[in-house]
Amino acid sequence: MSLPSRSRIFRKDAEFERATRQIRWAVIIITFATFPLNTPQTLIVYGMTGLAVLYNLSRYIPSWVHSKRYGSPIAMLAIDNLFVLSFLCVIHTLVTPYSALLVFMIISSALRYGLRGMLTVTLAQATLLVASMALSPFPPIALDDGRSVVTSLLMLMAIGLFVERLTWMDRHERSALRTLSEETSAERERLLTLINTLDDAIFVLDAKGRVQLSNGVAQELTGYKTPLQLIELSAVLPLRPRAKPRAKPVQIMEAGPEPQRRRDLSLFQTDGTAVDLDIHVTPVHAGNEKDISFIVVCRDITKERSLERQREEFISVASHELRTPLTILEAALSTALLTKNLAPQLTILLEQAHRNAVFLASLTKDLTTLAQAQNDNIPIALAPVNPGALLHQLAIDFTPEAKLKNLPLQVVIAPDMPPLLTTEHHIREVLQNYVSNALKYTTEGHITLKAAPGKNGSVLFSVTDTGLGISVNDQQQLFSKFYRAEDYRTRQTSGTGLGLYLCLELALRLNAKVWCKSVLNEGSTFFLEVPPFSRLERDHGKVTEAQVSSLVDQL
Amino acid sequence: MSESTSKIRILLVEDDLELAGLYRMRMEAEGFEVKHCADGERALQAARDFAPALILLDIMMPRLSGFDVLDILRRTPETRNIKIVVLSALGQPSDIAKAKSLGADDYLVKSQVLVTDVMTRLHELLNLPSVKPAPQSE
Repeated sequence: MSLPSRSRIFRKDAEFERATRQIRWAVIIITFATFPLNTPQTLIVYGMTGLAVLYNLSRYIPSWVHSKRYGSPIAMLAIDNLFVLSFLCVIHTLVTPYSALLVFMIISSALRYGLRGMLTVTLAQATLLVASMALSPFPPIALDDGRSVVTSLLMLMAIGLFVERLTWMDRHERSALRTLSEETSAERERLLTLINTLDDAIFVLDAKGRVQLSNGVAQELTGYKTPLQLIELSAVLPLRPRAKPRAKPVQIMEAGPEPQRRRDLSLFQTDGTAVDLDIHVTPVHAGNEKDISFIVVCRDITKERSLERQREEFISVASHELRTPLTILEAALSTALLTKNLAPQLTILLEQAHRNAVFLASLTKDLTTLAQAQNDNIPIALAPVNPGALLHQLAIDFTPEAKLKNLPLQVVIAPDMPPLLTTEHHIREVLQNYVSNALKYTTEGHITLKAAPGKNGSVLFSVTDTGLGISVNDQQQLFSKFYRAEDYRTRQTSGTGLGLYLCLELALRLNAKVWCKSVLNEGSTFFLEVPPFSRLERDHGKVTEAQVSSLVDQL
Repeated sequence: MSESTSKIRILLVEDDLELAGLYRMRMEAEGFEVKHCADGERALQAARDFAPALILLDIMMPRLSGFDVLDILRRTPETRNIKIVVLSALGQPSDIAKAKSLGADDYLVKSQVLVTDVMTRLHELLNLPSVKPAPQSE
């Protein structure tokens, strides 16, 4: 067995050293106490014991113990063995307290170095003992008593073997554990290195939200110079909604044991600048329910957000600036079209120009509305909304267009509609998009506008048509930006591809849901589910009972 | 609509002269008799003298705002029944609600409607058949 490396968890060499010292003291005391005073060997034995005292004292000096020449356990074993053998030579017999040290040497070498160590020590002792018996100036153990010497040695070997077998399993278990712990610590090192090289701030929190582990970026983010051990995260990283720098810090753990992602929070620094963060909170269960910890990963998205804002602002400004010239263009073209006796060629050209001016105008209108919907700085204005009245008004607004296409508009409003506290013009915008799409893509049949109570006090609006229908493939992407169905028939109608994306954005703003169901060639139904009250903000906007009851009174 | 029958009168109150010119041209092309005012005070005067069937009213104007004009017109017996369509750059729900409560028949936001849309609303309010449906590529 090779020399074991220094283990982190159990310093075996030091423990071995300590045990050996204690045994040595015991043997020295026994020798002083029991050795007869009036024998020829007394002086020699006392002298040797004195040397043993000095040697044992030296084993307390770290520089001595750690020196290469004398400090190694093998050197120590050799010195101790020579000592014992010298003792035995001087006092002629094995039947003394000193053989205890001999037994200990064999046992300890078995423990320390295994079977090979034990055999080597025993053989060395046997050889030296026999040699010393022959060479000693005092009458040694009688050579003719060789049988008892061999028996004694065999007995010692048996003890050594017994101990070695007994501890074999234990030693193997320990070495397996050591390998495991080395692997674990290597794993830990790798993980720590990985965590520290990441550009994202990482916090590991305990169940109470206190920091257990954090990386360099995390420390930099919090601005703390000292390690963040066991400080509550909300204390070092006060996160507030981006739109509300003065609000109370948000407790990101309060949302419960589900993984969550927040993109609406910022860290406001003392100089007034804000760091926008993309935050992932992942709960980690270790064993039972109670033993939960959280891994919080924060990414700095300030730059990203600012680019996003610039882009949104550009679109907003550009589309707004385009609006006036487009209005004038459309007005001029449509007025020109009213001229009597226009040449047919000219009519076609003017109509073409007019059609495209109208398209551009609706595109800029959608972009403007979209920019407004995405602008977090514009607060959501909440007011009581009567779903039935809203739907009726919508039907009235679209009646002229529906008549033109010969499509009956049906309105179905369930009794006992719950009232809503939300932004009416957002809901109207979404439903207008639905109805105008329905009119656009339906040639015969009818269009049904429906309002019914939904889950948990919400209202479920739907617009059903008997038009082209949407393929399953197209349904999945319907609400994405600039998406228009692959169906060639839809290409024949005008559309910016922004309408349903706008619906989705507006719905998100109201915590509402939009989706559709459709069968190709049979028709489609578009849904809008609006919660009983649209929260102003995810954390602070909870409407009180009083507000709801006053709203009910108003309706 | 021929020249011989009396034309339907529309009062256009708008301080943006280019836009006003366009509306005027369009309305005249559709056969209306149009009078244009560029501020609120003159609009009040014209509402009485010109006796239009409908007023297309801007809100942000010099001298007298559209809200005040609307309020006065609705309080005056002679002008109480004139149809009034507000056409303004203001698009806040509160502005719309205010105009409606003061008695506007309709409220159109400049950035959201085209001249054709305005004309369609005028025809609807005056119970006239629409001159021509907005061209659509169908």
